[in-house]
Amino acid sequence: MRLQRSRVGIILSYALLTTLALLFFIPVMMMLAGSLKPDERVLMEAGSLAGFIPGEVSLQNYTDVFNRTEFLGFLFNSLFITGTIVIFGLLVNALAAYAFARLRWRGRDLFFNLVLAVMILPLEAIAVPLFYGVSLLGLRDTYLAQILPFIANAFSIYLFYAFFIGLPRELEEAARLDGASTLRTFFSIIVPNSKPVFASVAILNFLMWWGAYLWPLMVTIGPEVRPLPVAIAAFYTLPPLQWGDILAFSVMMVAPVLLLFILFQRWFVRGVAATGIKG
Amino acid sequence: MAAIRLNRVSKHYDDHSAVIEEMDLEIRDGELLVLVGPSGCGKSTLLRMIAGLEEISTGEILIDSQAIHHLPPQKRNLAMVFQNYALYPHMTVKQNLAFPLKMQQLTQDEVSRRVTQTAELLGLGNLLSRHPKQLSGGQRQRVAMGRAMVRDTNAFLMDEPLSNLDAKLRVELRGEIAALQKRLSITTLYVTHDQVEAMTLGDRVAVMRAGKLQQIASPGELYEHPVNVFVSGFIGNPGMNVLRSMLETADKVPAFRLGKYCLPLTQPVMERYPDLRNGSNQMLLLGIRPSAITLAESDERDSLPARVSSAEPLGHETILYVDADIEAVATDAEDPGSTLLRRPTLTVIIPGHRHFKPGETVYLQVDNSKLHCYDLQGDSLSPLSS
Repeated sequence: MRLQRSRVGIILSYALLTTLALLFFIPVMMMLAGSLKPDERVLMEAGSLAGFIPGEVSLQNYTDVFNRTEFLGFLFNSLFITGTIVIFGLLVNALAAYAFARLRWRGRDLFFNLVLAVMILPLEAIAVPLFYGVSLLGLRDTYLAQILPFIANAFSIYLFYAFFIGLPRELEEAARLDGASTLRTFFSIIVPNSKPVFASVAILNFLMWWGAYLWPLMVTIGPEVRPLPVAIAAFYTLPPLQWGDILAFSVMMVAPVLLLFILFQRWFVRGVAATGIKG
Repeated sequence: MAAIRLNRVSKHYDDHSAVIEEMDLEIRDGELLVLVGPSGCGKSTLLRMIAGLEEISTGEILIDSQAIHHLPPQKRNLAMVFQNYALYPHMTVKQNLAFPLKMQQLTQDEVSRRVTQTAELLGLGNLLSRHPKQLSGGQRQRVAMGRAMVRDTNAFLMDEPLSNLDAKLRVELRGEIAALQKRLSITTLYVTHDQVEAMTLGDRVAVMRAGKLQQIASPGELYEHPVNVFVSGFIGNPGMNVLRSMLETADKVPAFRLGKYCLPLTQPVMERYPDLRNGSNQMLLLGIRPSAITLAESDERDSLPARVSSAEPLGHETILYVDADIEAVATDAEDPGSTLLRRPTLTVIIPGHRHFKPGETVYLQVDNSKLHCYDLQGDSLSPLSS
């Protein structure tokens, strides 16, 4: 009886998981199939099962994207902006979190609570004053405007903090007695033992800034420093409206994220488990 | 090598509760000093203050007459072995050993030479490429020792380094630590709660209780002349029996009364406690080592009858816990003269493997040349112990 019930449970949960997987997979499949079809078939077949099948495969839409836009330029912008935020973010936020987790200094708890409070502020709430500040500094339409405000990140600090606080204190104490300074202890002992949290913070930040739209739209004027999300929005308004081209653009925009996830899936799962965040 | 000196060192926390109070202590050049005491007595805090991992509230810490208490840990040139070894998990044994040398910016050749030398000394030669998680507890402990020994330091600080090991390995490594310390003659402060470790390892042993130093002496001296009932109860396994007794004069012979049992005052005891000569009808605390009590053959005159509570036959000896009509006091209570509430009242060690039934009556005789006398505050009456 018990065995049967558990078997029914397994079947039900698999059915649910399969449905969920399909729900997530359908748009991706449509995007991929649509990007390989001639433009006129994209809308025509969208409502039927044929929408998921490329049929006769053609790379014309991809060629069109390269001909009609500066795609490689936008790709470089996105990679450069996101990469810089992620790399400098790891350094700055991990150091800040270490100072909160381990060093003793006056006002530490107050500052840490402020950092936690900042976590609940969405970008939309601070976009206007931030924009004002960036304009005052004369940084509009630059890479710096898209990078600088986002290197320090409260959520990243919190994730690092949660991980560091759980590391055995004796490791650091041993390093101090072995003659290492605070910074040396951080780089030689803490960082190598914190790979999972570095990986998860890197991936979470990459995902967040790769898809950023509102802020780049506010601070960029011309196409020179624009990242992919703003570029695809502009491409959508560029006549003639060709869905196949837009889908090909989307595929190329999503590809680096998927690749990153596939490469670092192990770290991602471990990191999420280690920091205790879900979904 | 160096001598470490603590001058009136205190440690208070924010709520002003004192962990260490006005501690004076000297660890002599080349000596192994064991700091022993029950959990929470402040011994690890004291070690960490010397290491620089905890700040001191008042007083000063000197190494060879140079004040070091204001220096960060990395500037004190001390090596520490932690209870949980604290090996760097991402480094191999070789890298673990080399880390302190790299921090001193020695040349690559010098680092290799010293690592090899230390590894050979500790028998770690074939483990150099392993990571800590691939080592057994004993091997990890050796690596931790190696990391401390690999460079020239002022002193070793050891914080219960053997407490995570099983009993057999503990005995083995205890011997190794003692031999290495003698060979290198390096000043060592060794913290433990285990009095057996303290007695076997220490050149001198410092007994601490509630943040205060009780006595510092050689293991033999500590055993023979404990300054108070706390030390007498803590040193020795099992600890000393301490009983409330009246010194009376019956038939012109002074004697200690324990219930109906009388222990005549002997010459050796009188020599150790000269004040007893003129102190008739004096209430005091009488310390008797479990090994100074023997079983009388039968109900002899002048023997103390007692009921067996339990017995622990250990092969070469049997530890006997008995209840007798006497008043025992607790050696570890806050108020040293307070009556022992826990029963049984007396602990006895008798040679050989013997079995006893609970409730059985035994007759005890006390070697009255081996008595220790304390006042009702628990302090020794011997001028030698003060």
